[in-house]
Amino acid sequence: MEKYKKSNIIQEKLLPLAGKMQSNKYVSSITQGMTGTMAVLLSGAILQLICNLPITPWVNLLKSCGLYDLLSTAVSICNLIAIFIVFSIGKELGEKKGVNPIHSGIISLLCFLLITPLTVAENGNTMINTSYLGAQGVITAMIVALVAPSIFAFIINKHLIIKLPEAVPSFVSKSFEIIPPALITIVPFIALRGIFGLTPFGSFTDFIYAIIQKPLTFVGNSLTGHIILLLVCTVFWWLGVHGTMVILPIVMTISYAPLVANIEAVSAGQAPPYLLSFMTLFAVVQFIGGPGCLFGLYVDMAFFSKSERYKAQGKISLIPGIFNIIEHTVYGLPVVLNPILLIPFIGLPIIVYILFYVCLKIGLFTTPIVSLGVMVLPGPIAGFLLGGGIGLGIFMILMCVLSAVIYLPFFKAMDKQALEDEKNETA
Amino acid sequence: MEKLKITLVCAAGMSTSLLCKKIIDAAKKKGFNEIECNAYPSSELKKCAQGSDVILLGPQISYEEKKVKEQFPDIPVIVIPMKDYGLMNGEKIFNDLAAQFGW
Repeated sequence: MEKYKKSNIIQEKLLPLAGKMQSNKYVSSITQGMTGTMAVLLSGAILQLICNLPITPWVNLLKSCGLYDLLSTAVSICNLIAIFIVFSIGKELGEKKGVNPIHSGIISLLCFLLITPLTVAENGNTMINTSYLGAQGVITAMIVALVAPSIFAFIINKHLIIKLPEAVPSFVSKSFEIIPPALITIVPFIALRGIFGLTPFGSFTDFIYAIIQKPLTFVGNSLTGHIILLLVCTVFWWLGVHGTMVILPIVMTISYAPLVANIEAVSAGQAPPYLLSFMTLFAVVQFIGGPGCLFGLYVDMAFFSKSERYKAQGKISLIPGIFNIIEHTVYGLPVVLNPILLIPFIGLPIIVYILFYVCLKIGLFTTPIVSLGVMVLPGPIAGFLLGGGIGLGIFMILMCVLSAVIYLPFFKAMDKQALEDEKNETA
Repeated sequence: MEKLKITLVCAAGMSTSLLCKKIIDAAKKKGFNEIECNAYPSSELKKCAQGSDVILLGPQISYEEKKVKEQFPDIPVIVIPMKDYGLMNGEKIFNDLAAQFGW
């Protein structure tokens, strides 16, 4: 119990921090809104896998019957992710601010389109360049989806709405009610469009891309950036707090756009521009038995325990663990505040990530281009579905084995101690 | 009181759902036949926790305790002890609650 007391000071300071981040309306809207768009990315990614199976006769067959082009077009449309992001986050934030979520989502979408540049073709047709609606527009979409609902909700909560007599059916009066807030919300975005049209950037979307998104992507998706995120995640878990939820909003903000850019590039037949993205981080944080790459520890516990205590724990932990549910192990073993497990729990994910990076760098497999946001997929299976080739699948299996090897001596030390305790108790 | 509604909360609603069944079993043993025990992600709590006799938080989201208490001032909010949670000791969790609330 002594050790619990010591770290209480750290916990008392870190817990409210995590709480503040998570209960912040804007942060949680980003996390939930981005998660809401996973279906779009996942559909696009699966279609893309079908198109790009490394089997030449299959691809030729698709091409000869015209399906290849059709499916590629569908993939490109799934990549217009900024539209979905702006609606999804806008809806979440609207809900949290107590206004009609659908209205809030639609207003956000409108505001986003209001600042998106239009091009006029030679025949006089106006067009939207789809690159603004894809990876390049992701950060702009997030900004708009946080600002527009805020204005919208502010006006509604200030009761600047048109009140009609009570005799008017509520359906009719409701549709009138949102006119003033909607109008007032869109005015600043029209102004932004006008102002940035005069700057060398040409548009607000281009401005945000150059000033914020590009540097953020560069710094945030460096190996160092991702390792810091891994570290924060496992340290929080070690303290007993859901570390994944702590890093998720940051990860979503900085590493989603590179993933979409990679998917866009591959569907256009080019090489993916970014080595690291949301999916490389997710693969290591989640698929190898969850944060801490615990996959091997479950196996060690289930098959190599000598003490009654860990035998029982192994039975509880193994099955959920294979599906990356770590809570039983984290609190039951426990990992929390366990000095013996601190080193592998924090160190192993970093080693795995560096190995991952090196393999990508020397080209043993390619970066994942399937947005596999399914948290409970076991690592040995998930590796083959990430679109990084067979090599990535084998890598993930090897990492699960590595996990078992690394955790074994640490676990043995704990098991020995528990066995002695049990002997003393019975004696 | 024979009817009980216990609401469990964790980050995604996955890990606590395993615990629900064990709590239900423990409650039935004690003669609470009309027990309702469900697990939700914390984001859905607002919709689902109405009318609960108690809200239990997984230890990994203990930082939400204050927020949940503000949301449901009339319902007791308790963080499940780490050890009971890790060992999925539904029986002990339920018995502790029963002792605390005099069920």
